[in-house]
Amino acid sequence: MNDKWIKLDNAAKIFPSAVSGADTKVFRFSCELFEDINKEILQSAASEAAEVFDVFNYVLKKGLFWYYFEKSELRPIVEEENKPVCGALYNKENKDLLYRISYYGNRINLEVFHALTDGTGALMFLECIINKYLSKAHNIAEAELAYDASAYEKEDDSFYRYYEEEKKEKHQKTKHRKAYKFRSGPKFPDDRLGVISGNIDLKATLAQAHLNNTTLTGYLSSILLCSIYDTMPMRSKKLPVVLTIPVNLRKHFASSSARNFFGTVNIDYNFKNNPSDIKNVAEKVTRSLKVKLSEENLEDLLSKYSSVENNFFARIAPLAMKNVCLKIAHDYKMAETSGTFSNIGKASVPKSMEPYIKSFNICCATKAIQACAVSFGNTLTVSFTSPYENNDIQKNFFRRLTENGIYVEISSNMETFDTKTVNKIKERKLSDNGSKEK
Amino acid sequence: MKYCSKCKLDVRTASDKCPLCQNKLTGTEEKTPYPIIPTIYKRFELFFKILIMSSIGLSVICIAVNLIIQQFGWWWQYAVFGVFCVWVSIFHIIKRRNNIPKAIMNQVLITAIFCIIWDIWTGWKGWSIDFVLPILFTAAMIGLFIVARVLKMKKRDYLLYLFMVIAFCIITVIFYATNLTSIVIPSVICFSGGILSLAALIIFEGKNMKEEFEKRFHL
Repeated sequence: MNDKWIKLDNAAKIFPSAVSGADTKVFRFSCELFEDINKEILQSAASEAAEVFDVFNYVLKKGLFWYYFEKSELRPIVEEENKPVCGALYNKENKDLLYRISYYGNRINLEVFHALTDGTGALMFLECIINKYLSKAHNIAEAELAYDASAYEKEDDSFYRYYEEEKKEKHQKTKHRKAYKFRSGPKFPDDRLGVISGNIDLKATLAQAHLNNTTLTGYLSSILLCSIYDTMPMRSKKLPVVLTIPVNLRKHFASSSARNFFGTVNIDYNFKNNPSDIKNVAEKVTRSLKVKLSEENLEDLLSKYSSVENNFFARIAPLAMKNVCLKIAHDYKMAETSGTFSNIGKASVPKSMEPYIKSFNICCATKAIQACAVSFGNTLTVSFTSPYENNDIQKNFFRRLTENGIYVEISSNMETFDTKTVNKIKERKLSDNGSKEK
Repeated sequence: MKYCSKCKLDVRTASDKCPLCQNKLTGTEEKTPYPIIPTIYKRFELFFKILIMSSIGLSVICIAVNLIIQQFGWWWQYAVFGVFCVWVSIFHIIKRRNNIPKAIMNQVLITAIFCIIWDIWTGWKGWSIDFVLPILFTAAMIGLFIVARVLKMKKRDYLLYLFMVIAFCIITVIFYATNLTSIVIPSVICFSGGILSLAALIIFEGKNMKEEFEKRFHL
């Protein structure tokens, strides 16, 4: 029988327990091309890519003490997009693949359950799919992808690889501070998420970042912090505004793992006692980022994560108890943050593929609000997801950019929740739903 | 492409209003960038609601009738508990409908526990451990094996549950050893069958069993 099975990596262990409602712990990577997607070609490309990234073909199962991944013979079946954005992938009763490949119009979507991998891993998989798709669709040779790892390196649990027994110096205990949480008004029905994506002129944005003496991440984080502040009611102004920023640990610790290998740092700003103009916020944010992204702090972070998992009492607790405790710990942690901002960076593809690709897009399920950024060529795409109908934070964010003369083009799925617009779309056939085969 | 003069940005949409500030847009409409997804009808949600309602309805009717007709004693307790048992059984079957071996094992456990409770409640005549449990366990053991073969299930999907049902069979030896049973034949057949099956399982599927244990019990 020799069925392959692997343990979940450290980051993955919290995701199955923390799934709830709109927060499905699923993130979506999309890529827009300049042509409508052909289903058969995409299916063929997806099947081949699934063999290269066999590391993702697992189903989630429950053991007595831990969840684990069991190798599956299931392979992805490509469908036209027919589920809500970042719809649930982990179903307790149904053992199915933990990723989904779909298409709509000129867009290819890859949705992944976070326990499987992080943004970096998913991006590598998507690039492989697009590479094969373009090669088949345009009869060109498949490009050489930069990602180079053996099957074993792909599956490496890098958290475990870098785990050392606890060092003598205790970890710095940070005080639990409640952050301002924007939880206002009605939510979308059915636990759905509203997505607003903006394609932004990258050069102009970088210029603004330089003007404020900070990096792109620093600049976007500062704008986001200010945008959140703009929505704070008077009584909440004393609360800090906190952004959780995921960090790709592969940049700091050698690893070519296709699974999770990331940490998170919190950047906070207290608008009560400090000036609220961009320049000052950017200054504090840049300083914080420097400290928190230092080698020393990341090592500390890594050992802190692993020490919990490898603690004897944590290990022998039954899974049912772990689920309850992990959910409580997760919610406790979530109270310390106002939202998440994930900057994946540049989606670099081989030169031969570049002319066919318009842009990339990432979004991630959340209970509060999440912003994800990715850039391709001169386009920086920032997408917001939120289960709340009120999108003043997004409005403030994009307006701050356009006020500085930066070109922004937005698109959103919220119009599909409004019955009047939906009727108009159906009447005038303004949708690609059930599109014809090429 | 549409344009919002208040937000000063382009909007790719089929709608008339800006998604950010809800003000009117100018320009030409485009195809909507996301598909229209109708709300999902959760298949079993309505079914469960009806199930709970009918259970409560039945229980309330039983209590009411008993309060009116009191000659036969307080039988409503048995009726209500009976409804409860049936409800728990059905709920667990539906919940595990995708995983038949687990469903069978859960049902065996639930039925066994309820039978013992009924037996104790009705004055401990011993029928639960004399007859019901041994027959139930033996039937489940054989049934699970047949179902797995017929449905051509993968070994890793049912071996563990088979092992647990066999363990139940073997545990009935405790009833025999502590003289709790007055009628020994069913128990003896049950645990002998269990020991035989366990031996066969270990001999023929020992390696697979070991792998399954490693997976399920890894720390």
